[in-house]
Amino acid sequence: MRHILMLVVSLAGAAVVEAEEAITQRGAEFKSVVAPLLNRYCADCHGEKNPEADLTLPKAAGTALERANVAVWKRVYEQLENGQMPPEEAKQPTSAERRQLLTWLKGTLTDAGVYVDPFKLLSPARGNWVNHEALFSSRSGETTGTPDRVWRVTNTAYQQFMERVIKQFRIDVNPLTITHPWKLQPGHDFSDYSTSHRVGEAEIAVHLRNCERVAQKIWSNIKGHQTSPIKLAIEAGKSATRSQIEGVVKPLFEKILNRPMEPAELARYGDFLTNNLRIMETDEAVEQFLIGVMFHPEVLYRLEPVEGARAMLAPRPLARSLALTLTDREPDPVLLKAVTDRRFGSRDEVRQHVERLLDDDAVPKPRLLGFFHEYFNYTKAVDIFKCQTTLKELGIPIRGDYQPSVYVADTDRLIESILQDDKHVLRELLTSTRMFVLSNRTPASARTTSEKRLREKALPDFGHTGEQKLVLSTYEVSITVEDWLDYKPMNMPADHRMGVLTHPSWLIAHGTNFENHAIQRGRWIREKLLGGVVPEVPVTVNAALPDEPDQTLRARMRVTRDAYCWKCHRLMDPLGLPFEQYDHLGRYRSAEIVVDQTATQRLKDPTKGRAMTTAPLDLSGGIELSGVPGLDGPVQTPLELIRKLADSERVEQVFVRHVFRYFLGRNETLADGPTLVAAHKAYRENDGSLKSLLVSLLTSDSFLLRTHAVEERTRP
Amino acid sequence: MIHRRTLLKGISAGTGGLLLAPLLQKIEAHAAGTDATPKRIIFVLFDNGFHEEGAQPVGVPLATDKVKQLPLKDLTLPFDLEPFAPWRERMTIIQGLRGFHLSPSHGAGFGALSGLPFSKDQAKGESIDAAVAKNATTVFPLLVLGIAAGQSSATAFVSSAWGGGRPIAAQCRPEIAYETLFGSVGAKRNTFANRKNLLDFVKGDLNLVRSQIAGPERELLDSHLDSLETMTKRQGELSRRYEAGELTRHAPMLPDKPALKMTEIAAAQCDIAAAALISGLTNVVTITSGLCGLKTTYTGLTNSGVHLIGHGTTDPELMLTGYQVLSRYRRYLAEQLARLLDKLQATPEGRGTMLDNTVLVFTSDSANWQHSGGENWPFVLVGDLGGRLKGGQFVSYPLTNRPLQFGVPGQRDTGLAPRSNPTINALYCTLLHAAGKPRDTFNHDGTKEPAAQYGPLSELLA
Repeated sequence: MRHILMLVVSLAGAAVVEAEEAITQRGAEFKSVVAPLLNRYCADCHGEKNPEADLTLPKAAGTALERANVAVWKRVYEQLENGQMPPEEAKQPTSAERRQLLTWLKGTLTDAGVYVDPFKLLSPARGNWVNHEALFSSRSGETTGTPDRVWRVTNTAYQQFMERVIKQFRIDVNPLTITHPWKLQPGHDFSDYSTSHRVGEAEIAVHLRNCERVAQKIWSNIKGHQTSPIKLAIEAGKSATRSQIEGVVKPLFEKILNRPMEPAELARYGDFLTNNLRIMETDEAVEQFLIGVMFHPEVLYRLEPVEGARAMLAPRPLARSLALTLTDREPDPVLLKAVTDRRFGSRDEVRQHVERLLDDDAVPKPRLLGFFHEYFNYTKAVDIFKCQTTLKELGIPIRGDYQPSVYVADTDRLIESILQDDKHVLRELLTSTRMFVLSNRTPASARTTSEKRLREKALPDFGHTGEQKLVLSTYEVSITVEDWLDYKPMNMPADHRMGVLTHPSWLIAHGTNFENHAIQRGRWIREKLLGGVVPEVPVTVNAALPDEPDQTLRARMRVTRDAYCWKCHRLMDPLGLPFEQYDHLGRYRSAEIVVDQTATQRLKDPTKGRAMTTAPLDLSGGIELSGVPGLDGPVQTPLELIRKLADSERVEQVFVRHVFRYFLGRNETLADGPTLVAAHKAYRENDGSLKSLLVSLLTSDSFLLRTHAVEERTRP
Repeated sequence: MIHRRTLLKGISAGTGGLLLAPLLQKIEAHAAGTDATPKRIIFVLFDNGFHEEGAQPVGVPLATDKVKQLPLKDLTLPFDLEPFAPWRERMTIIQGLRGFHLSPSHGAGFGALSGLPFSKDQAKGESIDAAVAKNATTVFPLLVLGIAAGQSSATAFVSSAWGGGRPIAAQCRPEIAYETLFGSVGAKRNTFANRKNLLDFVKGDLNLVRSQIAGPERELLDSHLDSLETMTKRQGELSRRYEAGELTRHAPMLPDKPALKMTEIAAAQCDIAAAALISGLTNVVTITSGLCGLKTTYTGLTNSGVHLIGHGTTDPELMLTGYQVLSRYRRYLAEQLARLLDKLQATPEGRGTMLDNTVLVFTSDSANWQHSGGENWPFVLVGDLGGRLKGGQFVSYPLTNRPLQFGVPGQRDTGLAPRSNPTINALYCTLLHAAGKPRDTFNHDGTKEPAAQYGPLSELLA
């Protein structure tokens, strides 16, 4: 016991010394680097006399490191990091100076136990921070490529791996009962970046359980075959020779991972099985070995390392990256064969396969629609709950008649059809008046035979159920039962609607349970079409509109006009307000329904709901501060705004940037400029073809090359 | 200040870190001026709000212009809280805390336990359960269990986090939680030893990949490896306990069939929590019902959707209003928790029982109603944590009464706290003091709160 105590004491001593050294160093850095910068750029407003925002910066090295100052440094770090400070009109630190400050602040905060997100700059929300003009004025030339990396696979890819293993070994496990170790939540920004989710204890535990189940079944299957060479070899148990061991390890490993095994791997996994056989029962030993293979990093990640400082990905990882990027699954047999035959690796060979995969309709490509799901974020419509009272106030007495999943399915179908034509894709998405109607309600789209039968039975009554009437009147179209069964698109009234931004799915998704959300709609346009940056909501803001049910949304949004709020709201509100043309169920309207306070007060039984009245619409809005010559200016209707946007080259470029992000799993940097210029060019020259855009992106240096160095990230 | 983790890391490289754990616990306890008896906290969150009338003692008006403190022994507990009646002498009912900065409408998500704004879907910082559990030497520093009927996922990240970007999963399947803690039911093999062996091996390949990557994702591999390391150690310790027969001794009985209904899952998770506490596998448990945001069902109680119930819509089968169903829901949870508390009370510890060193924190992640803006956030504490909490009292910070009509016809009284009232962060700060881990404030940095409200709350501390 005494030894242990001494160890504790001596280690404790070492830790204290280490901590003290760190503190001394931070103190020295404060004096030499940080204090002079703070004096130059911040002290005028944040000194001791009447400091702005009640924030006084600590001056002396000693006080700077005191615990009490942690909150101050946290605020400073946030403001500096997101570019809100110093204010626009003040003199700005150079990016090197800013970085020096941030590094010191990050170190000091981390020492104090405050978490500083290392991936904030790399997060999808920061995509637009890279200067647009600088990106698109790049001349063709070398890009640096993507840093070597790992990228955790998606749920779908994980599921598909498990399915393949289950199928290949013909084991009795229902693939649907395999639990995903992680679930990426789509939100306002792309959910699946290489940096966006950590594999932690929970994920490992779930994966472990999946593997345990599958491994047990695989082994019992192998055992069941009397003549299986693997079975015979393993029967030797502890006394199995090395070659017997390898005779088990190699085929199983290769079958599970679907690739040849490297000699070093054979040695490692061979040792693992040998050791297992020594310390466990034979059954357990083999099962544990199988789980070990299924725990290979390749199952959970795309591995994209590089030999040397900068090179193309090796053929096998490249094939896997390409397949996962486009199809969300492992490479298909054709691609695998090309790798084995050494016919995959050059840029031209990559191009052939990209084109093949894109052109072959038999190859499922869920990531294409997946991109639009996350880009437009319209699928969220199904999560926006509308209660009975709200629907009643909007003239829908039966809650079940309102089915937002219909609108989502219809938008899906339109996007698929636009991708099929592959002409002027973005323009079509923004301006098409075509609309598929009730497309997930046809007998053909039924999931079960009984459902199908029910729907066929209801055919003569088509157009008369509450749900169908609501959908048709929302789109303002009529359709014959024959056209509907043929999935014929109808045209919505061109003076009322055009494009996805006027689809009920998008409008509902960008609304709340009770009303429209003009701010969110405006933010979407600012970020996803204009490529602008909207700062995060400051923690000091209680972001709520006044509770005045007799007022229109626009009137209640007057609070955002307060000078402090308007700085940011100016970037969103005028873009979102024209969409007040529609109610929060996505229906075209000519007046806004609000509560009639006087009439409500006169009601005999005030507990039985509220009396409603209408208020006139004001749809005015416009584009401000876009930074694009000729684009800014007022608009009077949503369609006018959409037309302006659809005509803008900037909007097209911003779209290209988003396609880049989704398919490369990271934000673009200035070094990716040539890739983006080329991709945009390919899109334009091929009449707005998404396929051409993707071929260009997936054969670019940005996609093919990996660099082995910590890259410096660009600041706005 | 010695960082315990640094210390443990250094030691485990040479000798067995776990061997030293009790020793360190004592050294630390001594340094903190506390005795070595572990302090246990059980956090319970439920969805759809803790309606004022579900917490307020019967007949006590909600509105008060001063801080009100009344002994509970003279008061009648509301229907929802009756199951806690045996412990009314060491129970605290709190009204009047604020949480508007957490936007708790439809559930505050991570904000409910962290007190940090903009945390609905994302862990922006440490949660209170993690703060209490931090540096614990138990096999599971923090056990998070979910009650999520109707959800297919086995785990969910909703309530707890070690820090920003480091959420802790809630285990929503009782049978998996059981197996994680106590091993397979009736298992003949020591699965823990096998898992340790496996995870040790798995680290090798991952380390190899890590050595090849210089990009920012390297940090992700680091945390993946850290998790593997933690799990390996845990499996090792569980394996040891399994061999010693310690795990089966405390393992609860699980129902024959997997629990599917909300009522069954709640009962099973409470059994598991009790066993984990009694066996000393953990001292901090969080149980989150409804996954902090109306994502589940109340099967077993009602077939109506949770959302409609929260709106007060009448359940056509039960012929009860949604609010009455919610009241039953809270009471049902309280009944299950009362069973848990009973078990702790039946387990001797020192000169008393385990319950003496425990506190249950019972609240909603949605404050006082489904669409709450955090104007009032009712809490119930059961247990006095070794006499550190006052207990046996009703405490209300100043409140005005605001009649609320929501969803269905009819009104109910809700509380509206003035800005000068403390926030729920102050309560969490108080809990840290009571648990022997005092801090000046809990996650108040950056919010514009008057320093006087940072906590701890003197009304609650003994």
